[in-house]
Amino acid sequence: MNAPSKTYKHMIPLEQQAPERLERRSKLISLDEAGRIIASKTSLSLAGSHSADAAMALIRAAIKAGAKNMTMIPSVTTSIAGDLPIAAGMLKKLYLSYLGFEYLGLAPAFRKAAAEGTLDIVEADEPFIILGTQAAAGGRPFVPVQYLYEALSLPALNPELKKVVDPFTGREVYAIPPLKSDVFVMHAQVADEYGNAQCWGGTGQERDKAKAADLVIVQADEIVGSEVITKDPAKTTIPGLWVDHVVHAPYGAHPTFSSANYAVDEDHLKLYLSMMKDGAGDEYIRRYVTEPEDHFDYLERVGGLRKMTQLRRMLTNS
Amino acid sequence: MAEIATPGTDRYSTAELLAILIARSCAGDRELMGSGGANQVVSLAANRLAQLTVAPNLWLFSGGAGVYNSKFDTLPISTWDPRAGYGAESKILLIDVVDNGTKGRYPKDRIARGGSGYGGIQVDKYGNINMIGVGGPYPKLKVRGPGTVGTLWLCSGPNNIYIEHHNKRVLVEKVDYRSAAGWMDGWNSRHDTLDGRDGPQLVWTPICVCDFTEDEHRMRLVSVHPGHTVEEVVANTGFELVVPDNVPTTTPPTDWELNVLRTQVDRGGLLKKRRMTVG
Repeated sequence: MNAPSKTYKHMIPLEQQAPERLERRSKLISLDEAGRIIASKTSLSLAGSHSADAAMALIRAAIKAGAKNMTMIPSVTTSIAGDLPIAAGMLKKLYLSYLGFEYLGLAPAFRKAAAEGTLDIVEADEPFIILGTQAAAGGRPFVPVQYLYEALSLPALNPELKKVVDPFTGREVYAIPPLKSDVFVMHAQVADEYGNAQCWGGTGQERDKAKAADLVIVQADEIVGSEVITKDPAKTTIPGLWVDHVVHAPYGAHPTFSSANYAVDEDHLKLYLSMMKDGAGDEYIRRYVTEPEDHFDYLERVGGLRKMTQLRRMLTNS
Repeated sequence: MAEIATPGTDRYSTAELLAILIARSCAGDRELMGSGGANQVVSLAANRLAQLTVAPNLWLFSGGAGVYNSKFDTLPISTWDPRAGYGAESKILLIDVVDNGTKGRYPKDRIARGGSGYGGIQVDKYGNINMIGVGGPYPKLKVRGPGTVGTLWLCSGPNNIYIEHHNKRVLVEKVDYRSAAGWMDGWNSRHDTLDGRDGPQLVWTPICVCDFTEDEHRMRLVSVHPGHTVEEVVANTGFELVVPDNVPTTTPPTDWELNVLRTQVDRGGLLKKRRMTVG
């Protein structure tokens, strides 16, 4: 009566359980499919730094797939990777740390959305995003920060920042909630088809963002074989088992920098800014996001192989 | 205390048998996370063997070295052995181990635990593990255990139990201290405390394989290894095992299995020398 009824695999010899062809599953999917997956979610997180290593190909694919009403947890400093989705009406809510183009100016779509009240902006900051991401990465209920926020306006402006009592000292401190996301999209210089990805730049936040997300999609400039990955395992930024899908997107960070691979396309960023400011935002989105047939068509529209070669050469001819 | 694997005389050693049994239990197409922390040479061998034969999407983790998917064909002496890094695909940090262990990413549908097994100086009928010590009152212990390490992870999802010494001192009615949660006090106690997260699934010992009953979650005998008997298992277990009417003999290793194990995983023959005991 207590007899187990299930099948016990340890009773069946390996050769009888071996599949006809022992094949490790590839995680490669198309850029279009990745776009549809992102568009089916409600929150996404990003890594990268300012105008470097943004997962632009995936972001454009998500906009093209009709992504709407999403919450974004961006990298702590973001330029076009945050502004373009706002321009395209993809975002409902943004955790703000820094969104702007530094020496090129403020972020036009973000300013407009803020002025018109069409975007729910959480007045966060760098520790809020990084520590909140860490909390979600480890399943922690919250992360405490010492009293520093007492000196700022942030506690009054950000209702997600709450006070708790430090059980060790009795002093009031601030609690940052876990910031998980449905999907984390990341740019890597190389990846293998099993998800092992190398970020040659990177700020460390990509690792926590990956751990804090339900789904991880990596776009890579180049898909490489195992021999490249196993040559130096310490160079693998994101282990493949954290990754759900891999997309091959050569020059996929354009117009942002891809660390140690190709330079930022500053001319294109200036074009973006001027079109946004001149009320030609829809035209920009049509020309560079929705109309291109695929990623290669996009690359042709922004200057093709000639331009990409120039951006790559800029890293060697300093 | 009897030696039950005599190197060079048996057709296969108990450690080889266990490595093959654990590998068999990993079979399937899904992504699995295999092996783990410290002194787990049998688990390492089992997971590598599974990866090469029946589980192509298994991620072999060598916890002590912090690497995934080593390609060794000669077993390292443990997971911390830097040689466990040979041919690895990635190296992770301890914070990743802690994050994943406490968040419990692996129990999510995509990644299940494969051939990982945890043991202790005591294991009880509900699969609770003690690495703290025997006797008391704490801290006056008769046997001071090595410590709890990362066994908190066992709270976050299902795992397996692996012991190399099957006797009444290890397999006890109730652990003196609980350093890793099994099914706690049986029945619904674990699910109530840990948000419905499942507890240990299989128990691998030198003489038998057990699992846990569906309702009470008490340890149940599943199969007895060749050359051993149900009576021997019962006599060397310090609590009342659930013993079904018919307990089959564990399917012994085939020549094919031993050949793959010895030529592609354990060329150094480490498993032939592994000491395991009963009684």
